[in-house]
Amino acid sequence: MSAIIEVQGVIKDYPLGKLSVRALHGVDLTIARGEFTAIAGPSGSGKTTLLNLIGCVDVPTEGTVVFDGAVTSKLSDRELTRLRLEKLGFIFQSFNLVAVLSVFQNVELPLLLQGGIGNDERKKRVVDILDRVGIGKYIGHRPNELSGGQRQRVAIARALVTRPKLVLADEPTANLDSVTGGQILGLMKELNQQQGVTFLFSTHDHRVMELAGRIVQVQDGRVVDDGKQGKTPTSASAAAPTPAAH
Amino acid sequence: MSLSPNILGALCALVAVASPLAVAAPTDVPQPGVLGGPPGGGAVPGEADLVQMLKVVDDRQANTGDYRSIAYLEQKEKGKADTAFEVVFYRRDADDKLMILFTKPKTEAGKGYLRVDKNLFLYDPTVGKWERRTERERIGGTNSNRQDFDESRLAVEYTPKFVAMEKLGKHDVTHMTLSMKEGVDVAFPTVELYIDKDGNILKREDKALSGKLLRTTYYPKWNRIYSESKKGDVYIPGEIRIFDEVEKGNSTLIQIRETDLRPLDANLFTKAWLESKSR
Amino acid sequence: MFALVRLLVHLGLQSLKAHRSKTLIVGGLMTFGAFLVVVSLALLESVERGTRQSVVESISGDIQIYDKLAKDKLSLFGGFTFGTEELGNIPSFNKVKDAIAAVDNVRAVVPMGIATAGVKSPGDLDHALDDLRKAVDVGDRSQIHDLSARVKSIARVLLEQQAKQAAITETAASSESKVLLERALSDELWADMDRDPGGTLDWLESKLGPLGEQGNQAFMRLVGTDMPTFEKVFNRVRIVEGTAVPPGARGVLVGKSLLDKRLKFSVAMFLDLVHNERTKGETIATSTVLKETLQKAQRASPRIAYLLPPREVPAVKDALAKELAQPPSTELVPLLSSFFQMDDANFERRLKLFYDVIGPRIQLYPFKVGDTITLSSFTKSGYLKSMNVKVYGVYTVQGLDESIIAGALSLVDLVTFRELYGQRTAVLDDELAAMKKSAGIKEVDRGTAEADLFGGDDDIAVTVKTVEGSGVGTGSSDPVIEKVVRDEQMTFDQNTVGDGLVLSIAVMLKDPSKLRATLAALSKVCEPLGLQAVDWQQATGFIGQITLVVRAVLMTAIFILFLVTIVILNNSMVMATLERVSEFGTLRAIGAQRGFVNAMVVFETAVLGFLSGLFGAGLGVAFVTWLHGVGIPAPADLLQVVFGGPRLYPTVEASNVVAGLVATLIVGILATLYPARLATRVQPVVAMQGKD
Repeated sequence: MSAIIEVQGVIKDYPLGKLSVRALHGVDLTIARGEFTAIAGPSGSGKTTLLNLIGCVDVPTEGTVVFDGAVTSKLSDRELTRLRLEKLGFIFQSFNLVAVLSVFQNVELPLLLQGGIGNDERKKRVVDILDRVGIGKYIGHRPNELSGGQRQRVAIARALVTRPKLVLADEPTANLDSVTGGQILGLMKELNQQQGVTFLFSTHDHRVMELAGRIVQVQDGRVVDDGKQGKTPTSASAAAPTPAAH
Repeated sequence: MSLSPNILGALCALVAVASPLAVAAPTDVPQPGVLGGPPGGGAVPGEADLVQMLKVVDDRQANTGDYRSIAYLEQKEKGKADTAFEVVFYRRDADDKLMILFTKPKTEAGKGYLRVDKNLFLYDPTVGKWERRTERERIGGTNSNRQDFDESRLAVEYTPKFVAMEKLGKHDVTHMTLSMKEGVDVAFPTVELYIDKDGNILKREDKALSGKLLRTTYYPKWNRIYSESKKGDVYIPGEIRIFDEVEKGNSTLIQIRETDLRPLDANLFTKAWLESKSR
Repeated sequence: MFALVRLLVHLGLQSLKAHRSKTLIVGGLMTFGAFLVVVSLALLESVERGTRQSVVESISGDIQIYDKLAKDKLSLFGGFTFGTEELGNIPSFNKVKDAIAAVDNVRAVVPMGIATAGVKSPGDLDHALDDLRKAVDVGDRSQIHDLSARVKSIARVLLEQQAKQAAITETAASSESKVLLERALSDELWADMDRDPGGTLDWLESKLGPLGEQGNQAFMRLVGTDMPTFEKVFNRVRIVEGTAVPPGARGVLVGKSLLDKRLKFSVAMFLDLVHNERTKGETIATSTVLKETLQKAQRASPRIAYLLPPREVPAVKDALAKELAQPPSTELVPLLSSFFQMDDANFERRLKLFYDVIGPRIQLYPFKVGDTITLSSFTKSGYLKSMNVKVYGVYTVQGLDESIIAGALSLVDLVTFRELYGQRTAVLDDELAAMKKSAGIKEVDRGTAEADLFGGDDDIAVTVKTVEGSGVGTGSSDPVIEKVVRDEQMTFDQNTVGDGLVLSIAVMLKDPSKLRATLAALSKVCEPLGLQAVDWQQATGFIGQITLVVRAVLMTAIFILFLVTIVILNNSMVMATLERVSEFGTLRAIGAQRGFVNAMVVFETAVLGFLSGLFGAGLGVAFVTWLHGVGIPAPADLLQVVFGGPRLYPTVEASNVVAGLVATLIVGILATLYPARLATRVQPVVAMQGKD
């Protein structure tokens, strides 16, 4: 059980005018390789803050976040950015693709940023991952020519093309209809089960809860349940078997 | 030349004797001098009186015969080095002729002016050329004018008007304004003339037609010389100081000496004569 | 790495496409900026080349050297102190020549000095009388005949004028003139002419002479120089008539435009003026100025009548009568008067007739090539100096034949120049001091003059004795004047001409582009010699400065334009950046460094800048090429010098295009600095907020 993320005694304050607001009141959390974990909690619970810290886009005010052995608060912005590039993948609820780039170019981008990968190798990896997420046919299209679900597939491909240690998905299904959403989640579960990609979700979607192996409950800036004991059943919902990928 | 030589002769003697006395006398009331002064001493002289005065002034300077003098001219100009000339000038008033011959400095020697009637010609021997000049010519480029060397014809050329009896230094002077007569070509259309009681011009201010003051001339010294042909004295300015009133700081000094009233060469006043001087 | 750059370029291009209107506005501005830079630099450099040609290659050389202690600045074409500049002096050209010529890049060294002299053209009557006297002296019967006829013609014209005047006002002076003129036309007088020419001439000169027109004086600005060297070095000087002044000869080369615009026969000058204006598009019918000029020509036309030798009159009358469709028996003066009633229809024809028929038969110019003229100058010594000089030829500056400024300088040999410049010598000073001493006059101050002169007790009138001397009445007591040496020395030793005074030295360079460096080197050499060196722009005063002024104005205008562009560009970029916050945030989140985001913004503008720059520069090149084909006319005479001719044919150099591109790029990058910084400040956190 190798931990990718170790959150220890993390406190996060935000300045608000002359005052500061405490978003996290001392959080401990560990995420291990291969997990398919959801972080749940109402708005304002500190869930987003926690995700920011885990995603290395922010650093704690007190305490440490250790990502794959590196203490994030000790890293420079340059090093943190590099870390994100190489070891993290992001999936956003609004897909956040670069509109002026083709599907291929969008997915290629992180590899280019990484550097040190030859033209052919790059091409191969992009084509492979696009096929894997089932969007190979649209390799030359622009995002605006694709449906929401297709775009999210591209986003997943982009997140995975660098073979990251952890993929963070922030409300990935929020802008998708229920059918497409289910397909996307299915894809991600597949990747998790077949290739061992570690996923960490921030979500309200109950289907994620059902698919997740662990649910972390956050409330009022604290982890009230770190889900190690097993899942607490959420509202019962008939999770219909998902039809074939769109 | 209407005043008879006798009176002139007598008056010359009078002046020679009286002048030291005249200085001591009070000068509030214009002393009857050569000019006669206005009768009673208080009334303003009329035009006829003034014309008479001018005639006296002209006559004193006139000579019936020939005339030759040497003059030294010194020109000062603001911001430049002084220049000077020495000239010999000749007159034959009977024929209205004037000749000025430059003798010094070496670079100017041989140049000359010849006046015949209304014509003024300038000669330069270095180039062998004669040139027609106008009444307004500045002799040698100085502030002096042809008329400063020539016979005095104020009564003929101007109409006088009385201004006031004034004082110039220690001398009482009659101040009158002269206006150019019609059809006459002179260098200065308007002249403020200041003459002493003997008829010597002490000061004159030369003005343009517009009234602008062009130059102020002082005659602090007059030479009196006896003329055989005139049977009387001829008065010649010994020193003339001309101050430029337009280009302030410019002035010309003329010193006249070595006057010779004996007859001159018959053909002196010709172009050929001047040319021969430098060949 | 290269792929990354390609990506950035691609991103830039795409972004530009996405924001069409913004791209067009900013792109348009930058295109205009590049266009402006290219065109103005091309024009400016063309003008500088033009001025260079006009000035450098015709008189000033690349560099001018003159006395360090000069009170005034050197201004070859005349500053505002016309002819009276104090330029100090260089006592001996030969002493400094070698040191200057030894400096690297110096091709040639030419001594020169500027003086102003007047050349007089006497009035027609005086001229005729002068020539008549000369003819009488040598006994040239045919000349005497012609000139007598001319004098009579002039007298006739004067009599007619007097009659017209008398009809209006009768004065004593004018009736006197009538008497004189009638005598001048009488047979008795001319009979006397044969008998006693001297006396008759005297009478003519003193009685008739004053009735004629006054002559006039034209001022020539003279450049005294070593003529053979000058001719070799300044090869834009073109002799259009006559020859160059031979080595060792005293002579003058007159500027053609001076001759044509100042000294030419007045009627011809008036016609030339009308002709020039008509070629520029003016018409007699619509221009009061041209009508008045033609009237002046008509009024002056009687002069033609008496300038024509009598035997030429019939041919002229025939030609005029034919043109005017009048009987050939008509008198010349009325024919001339009708002839000069010109309009647009007949002008060109009559102009041609004038120059074909009348021109060759009269003297169009007061002197011609081969004549000896008299130049008079007020020298630095304070005295007037006159010198006879032979006119060897007439010159213009190639390409500037029409400009008065080009021909404004006449070239004269160094020896004549030195005489006319007339430095004050110690000999003269000594002589003047001696004169002053012997006169013994005391100085008097203007302010205290009256008190000083008239405040004393001395008599005003003092008796003096007349001068005694031997002999009676022969003026033997006259001072003796030494024989005056007429300045007929028309030659001099060419080899020694460099030993004397010059006022300045023109330096021609082998490679003009190295002017700055050579100027610095020359200044070092000049300093211990008591000299200073200036470039041609400073030496030609106002004219040289024109290009500097134009350059300054242009650069300021361009600078302002670019400032405005930067501001506008900056604004629109900032707005764009703010719009794309989530995009930047995302990229940062997925691992793009700050530098990458920065580069994105900068590249976008760089690409736009590069493309607009290319386009603008291209337009600029096309425009200048078109101007080159058409030519820009010089509306004023002064501009002809600056344009190097009546029209400017600008060319565009590669450096101008590069400047345009570079300027645009720099503007673009400067404008992006702030927005790019903004972009990098976007926190990756922003991406996580998500859109709703």
